[in-house]
Amino acid sequence: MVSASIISESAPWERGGSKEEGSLRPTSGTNGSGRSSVEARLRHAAREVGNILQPERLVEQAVCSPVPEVADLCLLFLPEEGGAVRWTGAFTAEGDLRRIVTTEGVWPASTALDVNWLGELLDGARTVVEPKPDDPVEGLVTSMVGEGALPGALRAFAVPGLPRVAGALVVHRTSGSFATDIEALTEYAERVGTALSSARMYQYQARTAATLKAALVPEPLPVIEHALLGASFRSAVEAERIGGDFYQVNEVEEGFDFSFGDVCGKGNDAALLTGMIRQSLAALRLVEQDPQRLLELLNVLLLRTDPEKFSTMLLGTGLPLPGGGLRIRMAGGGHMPPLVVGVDGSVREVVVGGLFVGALEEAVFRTVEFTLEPGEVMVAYSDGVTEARNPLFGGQMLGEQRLSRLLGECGSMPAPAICDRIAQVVDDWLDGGEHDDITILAIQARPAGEGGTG
Amino acid sequence: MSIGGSITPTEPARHRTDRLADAFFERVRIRDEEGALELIRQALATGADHETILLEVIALVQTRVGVMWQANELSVAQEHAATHVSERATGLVLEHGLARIGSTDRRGTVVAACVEGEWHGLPVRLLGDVLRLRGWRVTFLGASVPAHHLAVYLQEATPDVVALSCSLPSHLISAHGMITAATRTGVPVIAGGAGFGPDDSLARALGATLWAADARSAADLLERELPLTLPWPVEEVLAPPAEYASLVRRRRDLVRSGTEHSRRSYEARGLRLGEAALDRTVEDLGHIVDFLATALYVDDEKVFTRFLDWTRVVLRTRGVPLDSVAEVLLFLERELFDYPRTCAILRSGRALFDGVRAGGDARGRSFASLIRDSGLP
Repeated sequence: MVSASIISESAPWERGGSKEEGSLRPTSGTNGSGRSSVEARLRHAAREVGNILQPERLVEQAVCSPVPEVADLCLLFLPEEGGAVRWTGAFTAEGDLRRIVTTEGVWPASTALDVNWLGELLDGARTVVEPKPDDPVEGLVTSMVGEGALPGALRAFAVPGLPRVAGALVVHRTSGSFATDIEALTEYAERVGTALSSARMYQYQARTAATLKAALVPEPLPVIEHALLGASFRSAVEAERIGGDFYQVNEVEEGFDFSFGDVCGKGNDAALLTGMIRQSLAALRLVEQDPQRLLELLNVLLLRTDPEKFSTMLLGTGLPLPGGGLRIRMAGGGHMPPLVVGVDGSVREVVVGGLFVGALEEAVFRTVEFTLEPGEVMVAYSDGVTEARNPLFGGQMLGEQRLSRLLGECGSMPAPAICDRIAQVVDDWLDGGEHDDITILAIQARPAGEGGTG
Repeated sequence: MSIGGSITPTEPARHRTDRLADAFFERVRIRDEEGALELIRQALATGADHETILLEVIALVQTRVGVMWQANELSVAQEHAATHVSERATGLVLEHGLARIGSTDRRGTVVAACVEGEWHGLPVRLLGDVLRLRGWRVTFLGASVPAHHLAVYLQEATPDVVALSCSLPSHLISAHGMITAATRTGVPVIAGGAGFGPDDSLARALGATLWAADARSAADLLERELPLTLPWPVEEVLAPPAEYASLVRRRRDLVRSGTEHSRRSYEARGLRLGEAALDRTVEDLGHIVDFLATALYVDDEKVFTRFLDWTRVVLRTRGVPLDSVAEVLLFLERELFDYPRTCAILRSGRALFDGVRAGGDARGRSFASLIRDSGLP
């Protein structure tokens, strides 16, 4: 039995059509003259390059694509800071036309300065140059495809960038000339330049966004002695729907504390607010541990920052009980009541009440206290769970009733498995539809006779 | 011949592994989490091979759990609990193994993900761990990764390959989207998981670069084949038939009218479908249409019949009447009468249910949820 395989014997990267004839024709090309097939291959190569926004891969792709149908060797030169120039080359492996080999290196500024054609292209003086014999580029050519390849045909094309020339594309053919393909190659170099500019801009944006995203993604849960923790976090796909769900659990001297919330608003604003609440909580917890008092302080703090910004929140502490189980003290502000699932699958709501935190000066919060028996689990969730809409049901929401029913099947399951299960069912319910952040935190009193470590 | 008669012959490694798997399975079955983990710790301490524990103990136990689940010998809660123990055991093996290999031997970077809709994360996690232990850098994107997330991720990262897992054939269309997302951005894809079937034909049709039957052959294959250059297909690999496109467009209508049909047929028998039962009907119809669409998409009716065959076993072991499925198939056949290929597939499916008894009442669970829980067909 075949247990593994490279898919397709005529591998996709073996672009040469018919081996029998010993000729290499692009599969996307016409059956006509070599010229139209070169144009077709380059058009296709440009499309391939245009799909890539990751610069390193783009460069690699840009030099690989024209090989071997358009050129035996293709090189891309990109200037670096300080005058050095990085080159990346692609050519077919000796004796195996299916394999394209890439290699890269750097010309120090001293070498790069002496290369006339490169200077002319980078300065924008010309768009196509034929390097003269004994040019340093010949050294690269022979190092890759051997001494016998020279002189052959060699051309360098400007790769335009925004706003200046971004680099140079060099193609080499061991036999034949480029006479009829200059136009197509010039255009290809332009397309590579455009793609490269887009990719660089995209990376800049992505790096900026990453800083914000980092503030939005909850840190992994710690492993703590007195409780088994589980969480699931699935952020909205569309940027404008990404909200500020957050949760955190910290082990403290006698037990642990936890927070769970959902800030108002979406996108960057929500990210900033989430970050602020997290930091404020961390600071306030240095001087205050009582959940209700913490909510009151946060309420004042958020009101002073911006009365338009508020958040739902659950704050609490857990203390181990001598005979097993946990004592939970919790205060809430405007958040959906968490559900407690018994070992037998019974489900009960913990009503905490309270108003949004940071919305009203005179907001009143209160504390509830209850016990989680060994194996019992408290599940806090964001409205992305219950407000998930099923397109097959004409957009009906999952709702609290379905969630309760689901949790009823989860009695005595470990907390992480419960979170996985909810996330899974919500995902099925969504049936591929759009959604807000879907966040779940489960805190479980360790079952009787189970140690905390491991 | 051993020197010094007191040395006992070493037990063949094979037996040792089997014994460990049996013992581990037993601990998992009776939900003795700590006991199960202790067995793994001991095995590690006595020098057991990491890969063997991952693939011949933990993975095997998961398969057994699935089979027991199909035979209705385990509840969903037990199955989830078992997976949880297996995940922790995997963590122990990885930690122990990584401490040994250090961080010098780096082969390359792999991004591992489950296709969208796929929640069985353990198989691809095991592959990821095997690769890590062989010196690869592995990023695990998680279960049910939207194609969009993968596409965005790949525009910012530079992995050598994407390892894509698909356990359920009904997710093959998502798999195609993800394979395309990766290969279009120049990253090759190794596909695996039961959803792709027993050989490479479906993976091939969907444009994957490599296919492997299991984690070990996947790891071997990657070692042999990477770096791959220019992996993607030049032309569109698969052109789904026109019937597929129409079926997908009609999916919501079919589910809606199918649900209505079921409701009426229950009422005609003096029964009422409650909210929970209605949910299950919708879920089931959605599932059947999805498998049907997938069979059309990959042009392989076995995708549909294998699913129904498996469903039959699951329903029978749970004493669920089978006529509801036959009825749904008949309903779809009438609705889709002008789709010849679709009807042929539906008829092959219905043949599996010939002679099932009529009657029955609102079911306890949807078979769609049963499938989701087991991940098996």
